[in-house]
Amino acid sequence: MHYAQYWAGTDSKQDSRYSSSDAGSAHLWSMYSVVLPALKEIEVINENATNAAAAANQNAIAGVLRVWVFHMLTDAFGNIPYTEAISEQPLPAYDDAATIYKDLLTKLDGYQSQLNISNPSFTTGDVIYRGDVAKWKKFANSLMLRMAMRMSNADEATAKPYIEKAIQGGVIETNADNALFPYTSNATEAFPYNNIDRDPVQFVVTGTLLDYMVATNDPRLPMYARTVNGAYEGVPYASGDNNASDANNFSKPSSRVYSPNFPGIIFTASEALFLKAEAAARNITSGSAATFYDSGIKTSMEFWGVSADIATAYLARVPYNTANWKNSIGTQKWLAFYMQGMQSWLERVRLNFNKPDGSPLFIAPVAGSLDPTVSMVPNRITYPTAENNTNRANKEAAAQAIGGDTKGTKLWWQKF
Amino acid sequence: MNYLATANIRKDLGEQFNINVTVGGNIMRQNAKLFTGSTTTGLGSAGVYTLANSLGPVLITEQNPRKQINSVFGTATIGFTNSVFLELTGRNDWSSTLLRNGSPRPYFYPSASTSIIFSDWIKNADWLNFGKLRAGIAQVGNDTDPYNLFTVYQAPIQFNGQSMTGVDPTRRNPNLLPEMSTEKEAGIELKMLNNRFGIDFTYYDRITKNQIISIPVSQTTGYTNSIINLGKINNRGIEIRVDGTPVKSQNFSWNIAVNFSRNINKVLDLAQNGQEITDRVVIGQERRMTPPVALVAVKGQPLGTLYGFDYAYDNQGRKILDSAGLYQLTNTTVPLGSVYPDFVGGITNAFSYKNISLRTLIDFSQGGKFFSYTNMYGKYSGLLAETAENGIRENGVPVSGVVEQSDGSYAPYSVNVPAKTYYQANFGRNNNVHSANIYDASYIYLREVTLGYQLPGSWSEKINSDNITLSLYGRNLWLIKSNAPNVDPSNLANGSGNIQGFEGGALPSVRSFGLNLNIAF
Repeated sequence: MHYAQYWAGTDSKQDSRYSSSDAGSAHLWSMYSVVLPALKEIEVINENATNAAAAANQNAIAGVLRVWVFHMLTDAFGNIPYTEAISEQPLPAYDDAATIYKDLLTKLDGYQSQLNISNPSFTTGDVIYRGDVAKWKKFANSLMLRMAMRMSNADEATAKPYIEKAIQGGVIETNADNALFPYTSNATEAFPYNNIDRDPVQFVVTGTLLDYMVATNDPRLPMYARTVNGAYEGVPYASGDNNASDANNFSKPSSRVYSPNFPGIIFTASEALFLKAEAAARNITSGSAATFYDSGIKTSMEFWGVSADIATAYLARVPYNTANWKNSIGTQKWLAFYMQGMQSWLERVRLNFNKPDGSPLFIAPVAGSLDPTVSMVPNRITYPTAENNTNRANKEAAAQAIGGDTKGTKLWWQKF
Repeated sequence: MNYLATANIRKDLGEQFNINVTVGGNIMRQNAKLFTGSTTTGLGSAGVYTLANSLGPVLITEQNPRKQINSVFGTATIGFTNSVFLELTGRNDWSSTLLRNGSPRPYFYPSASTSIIFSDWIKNADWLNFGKLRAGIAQVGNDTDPYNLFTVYQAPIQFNGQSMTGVDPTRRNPNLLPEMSTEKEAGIELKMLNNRFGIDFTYYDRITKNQIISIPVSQTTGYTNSIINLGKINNRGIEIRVDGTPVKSQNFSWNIAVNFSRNINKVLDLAQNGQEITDRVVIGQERRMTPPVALVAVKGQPLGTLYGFDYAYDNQGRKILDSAGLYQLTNTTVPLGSVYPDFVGGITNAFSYKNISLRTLIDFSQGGKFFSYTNMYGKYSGLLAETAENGIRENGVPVSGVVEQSDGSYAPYSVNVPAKTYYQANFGRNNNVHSANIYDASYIYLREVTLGYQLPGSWSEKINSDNITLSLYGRNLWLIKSNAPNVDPSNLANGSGNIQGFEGGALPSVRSFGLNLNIAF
């Protein structure tokens, strides 16, 4: 949420100023030992399955989720252990990120065709889609569209067939099909930003977000942030000294996004629609970019509970600009990505967009970056330090291969 | 539950030899049931510590560790004129915690030792009261805890109305071998000058092979930890005990005993399950830190070397700061010192004058380092006095060092950093300067003083007692010398597992006083 410049820290501004972030790296890296082995185990258990048709769908769903996890890891770090990860190999080597991407897309294509909507899948345990194979298939295609688009600036030739295939196969285009992780109001199942005891004061919403939303009279404002004395007060990103009382002077994130049952957002319809808009704008596929752009905004509004009339009125204030599609789509996608900090940051880095009028949307940390390799925004996060002790030689080879284990190193898909 | 059966044969072979043979069998069974419950997300009514008062679902952990070791053993002792002894032993264990071809793995370990009371053979040496030489070689095999062989699923918990489980993040190992340590030992014990001077000296050299240990591994393997047989570790050292009675008269005596030991520890081989795959193995870490400070074994070095981040220095040895005045860290984790002391020992003095006796015990340890989570947390949270002293909360902490210039050179830089930022960002739990909380574990401790008074014989005779002694004692009286603030380096412990070299929330040694009445019959 820092790197996408939605929020800024109050009493630990060094996080907003890009000081080293090993806790975040370690957290993401832990998917290797928590998520991936469990997904692999689904296939192991299914070796003795009695219902082969259901097992095939279950394995495909596990495979899609595995692709999703590896895609997040490689987007954030670059080269990562892939072929030797979760194997008997005690010191997994790091693979080249671009090669991983191509393999993930090949696998994802295989999984989406393996998903057979006329057969059963999970009867219990699937909290995301409750075993609905048709929805899983849409998610697989949407993920394919996102990943292909992410690499499209570096290798459009490889990306194009996947973009076409994903759109043809059908992506998530209504909020009913969104991939959401359902946190609940039970204390131990609550959304991680929720705090049962007190309202968190660690973050305030930035002027970057609020000023633009106020200027365009964005109806999502009350769902995104709270007011201070009746007005939206965005903090200049990463300004001033550490001070928890910033939370009294600037707008805090809304109660909605701190509520216990706010979902963990994996993929929403608005993202897929903005991706379709970009594909059309770049003439990778046919169709009207403006239409997809409008649908993307309206779907986001619907997700946040804004009525269709108000959403349509808003469209007039932010018309699609064909000549400057990157700024139009980039800015609206960024607004719709609220609470999806990681994807929003990665798209910020990929598209390097401005406001629709061409003026800069993002600012550098006001108090300055604490990382000498970064001035505006990190291009990646650094490998977790734990790898120094447990897999040192491979980690250092990977650091050299990507051009240095710093937040400033540009990854292969970052061209702007 | 333990079942033991032994048979013993004793036979004198002529006048000078005798032999004593024992054979036996043992069955050891452990069966424990552990039931732990804890509340989640706080209590409904404050101060009522019951499970039913939990706000969130109660977490219940049940364990049922079971283990059995079957053993057969034998001992033979051959004695010659009661002054030369040879002892041979052998033992074979079958432990349920180790497997071979589906049944408990047998492992055998023998020992041989000899001792010669040579003072019996030396005539005309009045100064020597007792002299004994001993030498031995012994093997000891060890099994492991239950459930280290096979990976299992975690016990299911509920999420959103669905059962949820996961794969055990510790990689178990069905091919575990028993730990085997082989120790060679030689020693001499002398008592001289009417037993007023004695010395006991031991040299040992022990090699531990296939130590069973859970090591942190790269999470990219799919596990956080792996249970392995770890290579070969050598411990060798000396132990000396000297005692003497410099003064002894009818009414007054002074006895002094000094013990001293020095151990040298070295990793000979870092093979994991018999295969050398890496030059370092993490044997423990302070997991509450991100990144963790780690205890690392490196081949050719002592087993426990602390690794973590140090201050970054320029080539003139000045600390490098960023523009906010925060310390920059080394690019990678660096060795921060061995956790093992150079030597340890103790001195006991005992004085007696007529019916009064005084005994003091001082112990000491030199060298070795430890990481103090207590000091880290004290700085991080502002609990320590130093985080508030000298007006730093109002004026900030003056920091000086150097800052990197755009041309790559370093220029001196001084700035006042707000106290909270200074302590939280430099010495907090995340990305901090680990070396700032590494301390020397040396200490000198006045461990015990006992003042005794033996009541007159006429009193004890009344109740047919040999003697009655009244004594006043004090324990853990004075940490005479320590280089570590706020914690007691002689009593290092850690809330999250006891790994040498990590301190966290350790309580100081408890000082106690008491009065003892001892009636001997």
